[in-house]
Amino acid sequence: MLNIIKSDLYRIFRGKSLYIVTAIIIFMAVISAITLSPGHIGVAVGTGSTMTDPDTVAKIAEAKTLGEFRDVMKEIGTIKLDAQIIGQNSNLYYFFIVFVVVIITSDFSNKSVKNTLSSAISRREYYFSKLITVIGMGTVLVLFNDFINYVLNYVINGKEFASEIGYITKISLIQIPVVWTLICMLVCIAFFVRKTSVFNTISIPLLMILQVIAVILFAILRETPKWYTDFELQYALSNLANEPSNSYIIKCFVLSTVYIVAFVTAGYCAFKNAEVK
Amino acid sequence: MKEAILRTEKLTKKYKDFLALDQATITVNKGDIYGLIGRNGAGKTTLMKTVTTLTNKTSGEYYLFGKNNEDLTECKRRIGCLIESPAFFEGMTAYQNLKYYAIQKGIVDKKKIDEVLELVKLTESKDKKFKTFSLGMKQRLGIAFAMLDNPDFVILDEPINGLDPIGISELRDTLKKLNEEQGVTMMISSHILSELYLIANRFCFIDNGRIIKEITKEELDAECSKSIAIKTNQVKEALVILEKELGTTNYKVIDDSEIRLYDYLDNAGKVNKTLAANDIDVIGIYEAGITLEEYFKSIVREG
Amino acid sequence: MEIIIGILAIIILVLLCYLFMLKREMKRIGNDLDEILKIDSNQLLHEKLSDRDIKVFLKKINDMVIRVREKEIVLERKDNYLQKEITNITHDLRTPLTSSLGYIDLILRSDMTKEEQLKELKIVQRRLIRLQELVSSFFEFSMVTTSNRVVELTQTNLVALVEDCMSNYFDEFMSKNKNIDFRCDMKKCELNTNRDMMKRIIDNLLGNALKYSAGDLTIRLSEIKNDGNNRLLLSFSNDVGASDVDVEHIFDEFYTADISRTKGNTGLGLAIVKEFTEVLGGEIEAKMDENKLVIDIVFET
Repeated sequence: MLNIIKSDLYRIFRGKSLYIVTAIIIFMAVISAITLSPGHIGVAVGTGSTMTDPDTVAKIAEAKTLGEFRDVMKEIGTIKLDAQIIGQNSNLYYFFIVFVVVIITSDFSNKSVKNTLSSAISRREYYFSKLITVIGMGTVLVLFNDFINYVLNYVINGKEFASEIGYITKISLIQIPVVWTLICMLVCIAFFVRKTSVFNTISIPLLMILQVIAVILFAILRETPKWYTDFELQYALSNLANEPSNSYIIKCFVLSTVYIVAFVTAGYCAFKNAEVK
Repeated sequence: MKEAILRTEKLTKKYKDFLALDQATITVNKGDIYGLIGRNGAGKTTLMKTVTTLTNKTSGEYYLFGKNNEDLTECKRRIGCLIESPAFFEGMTAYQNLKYYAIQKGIVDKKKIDEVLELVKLTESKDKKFKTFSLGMKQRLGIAFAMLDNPDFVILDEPINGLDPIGISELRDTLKKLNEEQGVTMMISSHILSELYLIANRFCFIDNGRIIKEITKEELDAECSKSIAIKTNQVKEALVILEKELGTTNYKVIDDSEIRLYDYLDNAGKVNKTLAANDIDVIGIYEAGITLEEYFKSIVREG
Repeated sequence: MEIIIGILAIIILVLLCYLFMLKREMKRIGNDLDEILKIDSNQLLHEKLSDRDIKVFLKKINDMVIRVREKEIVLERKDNYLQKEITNITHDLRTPLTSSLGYIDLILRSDMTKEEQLKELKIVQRRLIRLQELVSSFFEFSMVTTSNRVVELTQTNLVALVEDCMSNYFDEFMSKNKNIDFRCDMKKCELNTNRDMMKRIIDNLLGNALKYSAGDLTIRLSEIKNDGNNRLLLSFSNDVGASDVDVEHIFDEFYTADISRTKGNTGLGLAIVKEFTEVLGGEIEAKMDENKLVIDIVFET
C-alpha cells in the first residue's frame, strides 16, 4: 500500500496541478485578507457574517476605495476573519475534485489502471491506497489553507482581526471529519463511474445542487429546516468554525463517521467486481 | 515433468449475451513460447484479461503457477503483461512512467528502468513525453513495462502491432534471447501467423471463443509440410509398392483413399509411373502442402 | 504541561509503530528470500516499506541473488558442454584403438610376408602413438582444471629445448610440405622454469601449427630489454590462409577452428599452452597479423 501511495505522490509532485492549487490557495488567502471578506471562490454560505447592523452597512456602502473600506472595517472592530474564512472551507471542495481526478479517475480514463491491476496489487489494496492518498492530500490542503489564512490575516490585518492560534487549531481539527466525508463521497462517486468526464459532470454541480435544495426547501417551507442548517455538509463546516458547542461537535463527528463508512463501503463494492475496460 | 505456468480448465467468460470465451482449456508449460492465434474478436484478449484478473471469469478455473483464487495475487508479481493498447500517463516521459510503476511494484534498483529501456531500444527517447510517441514507440514502452519486474511469465497481446520490420525483427530476437537465457515463459497473441511461427514453439488456435487446437511446432510442420498426395482405392497395395519399389517409408495414410508421401517431392512423375507399372490404379496424384494461412483457415472452418 | 506530555506520548506511539513495521518488514523479506531461492524464478526482492537503509540492504541481496543465478547458468552451460565433449573424446579414442585392433587381426589371420607385416605393424604403431597423445592430452586437461600443483623449476636451455621439439616434428612437417623456421640469435638461453611443462607448451604449439597452418611456421626467440626488466619473447607465427580463427576464444578449452573435428583434435592443446604458461609465470597473447596467426609468450627472467 505504501508503494502505491508513494508512486502517486511521485506523480503528483512531478505534475503541475499541485502547484497551481497551492498558488491559488495562497492567492485567495491574500485577497481575503486584504479585502477583509471571506468567500473564496464559491458562495458565502451560512452564519458568521456580522454585517447586519444597518449603520455598519451604510458606512461600508459609502467606502469608495479598498483603502477606505479597510479603514471602516478596522473601526467597526474585531471580526475573527480567519475563523470566518475557515468557515467557508466547503469551497475547497473543488480542489478535492481536482485531486480525485488526478489520482483516481485519470488512471481509469487513461486505462493505465490495467497496468496496476494486472500486477501483484489486489483491488482492495488499490482502492484503499487511492482513498488514503486523496484523503491525505485533502487534509493537508485544508490545514494548509487554514494556517495560511491565519498567518496572512495576522500579518496583514493585525492582531485585532485574528483569533488565537489555539482556537484556529481546534476548529481546523474539528472540521476534519466533515472534510473527510466530502472526500469519501467524491472517491465513492469516482469509483462508481470510473470515467473522468462523467465524474466531473456529477461532482462539480453537486455542491451547487445541494445549495439549490436549500433554496427549494426554503421556498416550500418558508424557512430552511434546522436539520438542514445543522447537518448539511457545507453548513456544518461553517458552523464548526463559529464557536460550536461540544455536543454539536460530537454530533457532527458521529454523523461524519457514519457517512464515511457508508461511502467507503459503497465505493469498494462498486469497484470490487467491476470490469476494467 | 514440465511445470505448467498457466493452466485453464473450461474457462468461460460471458459479457451479457456475448460469449467471449467458451470452455477454454489450455496449458502453457515452463519455457514455452506459446502462440495464441485467432481472428480479431476471437477471444485472445479476453483470455489474457481473464487470467490476469482484469476481468472476472463467468465459470471454469485457471491456475497460475499452480495457484488460483485467493493465492493468485502474490503470483501475479511474477507476470509481466501488455494487454490491448499500451496505456501510460500522457504528460510524463517514458522514464517517469516506468519509474512510477517501479515505485509501485517496490522495485529496489532503479537501474532496471534503464536496462529495460535499452532492451526495447527506447533509450534515446526516455525523456520524451508519452503523448509525443509514435505507435511503435508506445508499443515498445508497453513491452518494456512488461519486462520491468523480472517476470517469469510474459503475456503480450499483439506486440508487433505498429512496429516496423526492423522493430519486429529486433523484438523477435529480444524475446528469443530472454526465453533461452533466462527461461522466461511467454504467451504471445497475434493474428499474423507467419511472424508467430518464427518464434513460438507451441500454438493455440482460437475462434469464436473456443479453443480449436493446441499443437506443437513440430506437429504443425508435419501437418503443413509439402508432400505428394496419392489418391487411390488400393492404399494397402500402393504402400507395398512404395516400400519395395521406391524404397521409402516416409509416408502417412490419410484415409482409405489417400496417402501422403514425403519423399520424391520433385519426382511425382516417377512415383506415378512406378505405381501404374505395378497395376495400382492412381486416381489422382498432386503436390500437397499448405501455407500456414491455409492451415489456419482449414481448421477454423472445421471447428 | 499536559501538552508536552501529550506530544511526547504521541512521539513514543509513532516510534513504536515504526519499530513494529520495521520488524514485520524484516520478517517479510526473510520469507520472500526463502521463496525466491526455492522456486526457479527470475524474481528479485521488493521493498514494501520506504526505508533507505533497508532499500540499500535489499539492493545488495538482490545483487548477490543475480550473481548466484548467473553462476548457475554458466555452470549448467559448462556441464552440457563437458558432456558433449566427453562423448566426442570417447569417439576420438575409440577410432585409433579399433583400427589398430583391426590391423593386428589382419596380421594374425592372413598370410603376409615379413615386409608386409612390418608395414602393417608400423601403421599400428603410429595409431597407438596417436592414442597415447590423446590420452596424455586428456590427462593434462584434468591437470589443468585442478589448481593445486607444485611446480619444480630448473635452469633450462630454451634454445636446445625448441630445437629438440622441432626435430621430433620435422618429419611430419616435411610430409606436409611445410617448413619450420627458427630464428634466434642466441646460442643459449637459460630460463628458470619447468622443463616438462615448457616442452609440452612447445610441442602443442608445434602440433597446432602442423594441423592448421597453411604455410610455414616461424619460431622466434629473443630477449626484450625494457627499463631494467629483462623479458624473453617466444613467438610462433604461421599462415592460416582462409581459416577463420577466433583469437578471442582460441585458448578456450575445446575450441577448435575445425568444427567437424575431422582432424581428430580435442581443442585442448592451446588451452593447455595457456594454462601452463600462466602457471610458469608467463603471459600469452594471440593476434592476427594479416593472414598470419601470431602467438606470443613472454617470460620474465
